[in-house]
Amino acid sequence: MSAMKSGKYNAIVLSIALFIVFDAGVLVMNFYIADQFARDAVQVNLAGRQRTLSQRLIKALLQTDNALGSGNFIETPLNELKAGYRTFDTTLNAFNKGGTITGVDGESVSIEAFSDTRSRRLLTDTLETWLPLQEALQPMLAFDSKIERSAELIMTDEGANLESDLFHAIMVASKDNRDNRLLKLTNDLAVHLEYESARRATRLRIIQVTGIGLALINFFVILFHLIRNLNKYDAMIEIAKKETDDILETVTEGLFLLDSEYRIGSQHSAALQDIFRRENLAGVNLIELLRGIVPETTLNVARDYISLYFGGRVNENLVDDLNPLNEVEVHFAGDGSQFQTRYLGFQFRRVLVDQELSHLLVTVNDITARAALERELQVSRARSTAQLDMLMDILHIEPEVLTDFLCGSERSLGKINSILKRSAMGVEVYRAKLDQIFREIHAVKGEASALGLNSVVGLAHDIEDLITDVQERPTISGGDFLPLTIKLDVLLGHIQSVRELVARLVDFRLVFDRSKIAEVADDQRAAPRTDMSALLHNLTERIAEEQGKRVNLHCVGLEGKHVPEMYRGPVKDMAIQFIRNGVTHGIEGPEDRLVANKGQVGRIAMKFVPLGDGNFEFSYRDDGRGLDMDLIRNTAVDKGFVSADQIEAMEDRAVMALIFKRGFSTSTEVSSDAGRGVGMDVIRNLVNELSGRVRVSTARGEFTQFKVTLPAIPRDMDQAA
Amino acid sequence: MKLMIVDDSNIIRKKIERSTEIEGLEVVATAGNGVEALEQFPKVRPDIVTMDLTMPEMGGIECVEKMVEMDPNVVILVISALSDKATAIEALKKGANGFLCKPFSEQELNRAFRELLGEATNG
Repeated sequence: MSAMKSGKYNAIVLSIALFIVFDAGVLVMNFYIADQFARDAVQVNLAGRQRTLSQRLIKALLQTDNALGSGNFIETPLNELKAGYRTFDTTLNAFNKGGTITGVDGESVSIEAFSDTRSRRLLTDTLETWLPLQEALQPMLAFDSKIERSAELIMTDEGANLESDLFHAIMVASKDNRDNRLLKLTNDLAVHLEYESARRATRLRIIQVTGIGLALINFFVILFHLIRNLNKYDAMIEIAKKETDDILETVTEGLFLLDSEYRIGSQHSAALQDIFRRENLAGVNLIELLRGIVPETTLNVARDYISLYFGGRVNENLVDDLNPLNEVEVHFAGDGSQFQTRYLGFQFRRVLVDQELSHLLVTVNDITARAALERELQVSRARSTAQLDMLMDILHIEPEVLTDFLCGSERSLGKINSILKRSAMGVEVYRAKLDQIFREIHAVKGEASALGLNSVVGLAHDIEDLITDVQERPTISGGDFLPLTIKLDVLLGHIQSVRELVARLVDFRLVFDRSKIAEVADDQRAAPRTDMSALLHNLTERIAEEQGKRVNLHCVGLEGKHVPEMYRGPVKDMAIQFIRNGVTHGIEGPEDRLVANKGQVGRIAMKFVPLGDGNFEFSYRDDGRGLDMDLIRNTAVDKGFVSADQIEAMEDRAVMALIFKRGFSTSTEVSSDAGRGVGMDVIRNLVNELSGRVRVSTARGEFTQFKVTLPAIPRDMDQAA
Repeated sequence: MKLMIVDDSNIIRKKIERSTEIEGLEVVATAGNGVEALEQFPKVRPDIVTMDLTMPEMGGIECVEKMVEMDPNVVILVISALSDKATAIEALKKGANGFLCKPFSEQELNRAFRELLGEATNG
């Protein structure tokens, strides 16, 4: 740019210098011409005077002679003769050799000797013609008499000599027509000088016109050059501006310069207007622009951060991490009271001009999509980790058992949903609802725990915590259910993701074992098979291991399709509950068992058999410590189920019935498997729902047994199942 | 070139000391808080200082301010966690020259040194 500038000015400077030179030349020429004209005019005038003088001399000579002859005064013609002679002779000498003489106007003039050939020749001829006359006139020039009257003078010798000299001079002048030749020569000289002067004037005028012409041409050249250059540079500027405009119009980032007063520069990209949803951003204060759409605290930090760039001490490559506007959430007012949230990313860079900081170049991007993607990625990562954990959990579960669990859980959650939807008012109704939900969740948790699905157990446990928390409040409102629905939703989502995972695993199997496609399809079509014994074995092993016990489970009639479809769910739930309670409370630790003369391995037997009358019996029996009637009595009194007096009066059978009450637990700690006081009431509820009966029998230190009788299934129901 | 390390964590001090691999950069002093650092500062006259912000007795912000008062040509690299950007920015306003986020790698530390020393040599 600066090279271009200096080039432009060099041409202009050269052109102007030439213009001045031409003009100065013309001016000097003018002076010279004026001077030459003055000199020529003097010479021409002097030459003209010589011509006149040549005649006047002859005339004065004749008049003097005539005055002397006629007796008149001779003084006037003689003086005129003398003056004419002196002027003519001095001028002629000056023409010949140069010198200062009196001019026509009486002033002294300095003239140079004639130099051109023609002038010199005419001068030489004039001098030759003049010389005899000049000599002949000498006596008259020297004549000076006291006698004024010529009548007296002629009588004297002086007068006689003068007469003779006059006569001689007149003779010389008239001899060979000398007087006329002298006139002609002086005339020729005058004419020649006039001609020379005119010729010189013409030549000088041509030179002058040429000079002016050149100056004018130069002027137009300058003008043309200047206009052409201006056009060229204008075009270049126009192209540069067009390119800048194109960039600013096209670039998708918000681009602008920021001054130290935080003002946006006059040029900015079109995208900036879209990003900030407003026009006329030039000159706007950036901080004010962000006020209202960015939190005030962020704005204050941002102002300080930007000021660092203007401070000069900070290395701009080492402060990017601190940029509070690197990814900033902004809220734009939308339609009505709606706000639209976007994410913007600002980057700052110093702009140096001649090593001095002039502005900051600011780049703004709408990074909403990227920010959303990042968040999505985080969620997805968390989900992947959870799924991986889940995968590890479900890999050791039989697919059929798992499918059965998933169906059962979804059923339970569906049930919870309908419980929630039922219209209800009043604290008691709310509490009843919470109880029902709790039992459903507890059942899901129990089964998940049996399968080792720890993620599901954790989520279900959270829900139980929440329900317990709400139940403990003095009063309950409909709003208390809101957090519950959210957590239930999370659990449902989780169970669905387990299902997706299972589906993927099935796909995986299909890819690796195409020959089994048909079989898998059959499996998928078939109702979930209820080989719940595997599930129960797992559960028993897990709980026993956790509690440092050894238990052997023996199941009869729980494999395959022995259990009618409509009883499968409840029987499984009851079995889980029996095992949890039995392993936790019933079976003793290995050492205690040795002391009690039992084998180290506890035994649990479960049986599901059809009775002859069409009814079914589901029985549970363990060889543990039996029910501790004293502990049950104390717990019942402590928990306020009955008074101390009442318990004294109760028989063992009635006391045993207390374990089916909601909230009854002899355990002092809450774990996934026992302690909440839920469990046996789940069994009671299930039995009630199915119109069955449950009986308990126990012997201290020997066994505990539950027998559940379930009614026969009506034919149509069975068909449906 | 003389380096001074100011950090209340012995582990971080050691890490900086061990990680520095700029030729000609030599650790001349370490300090566990601002007071110690300011005592040593006029004696050792370091060219570059790494500065923690949260330290007992005297924090990094005050220390930066006083060091710059004593020697306006000193180059200070603030090394701190990102949790409080405002504090770090305040330290930079007081005259620190750069910021490095904890936790940092060897490469990041040496890159920061190169940035700052390059600037100091050029300027």
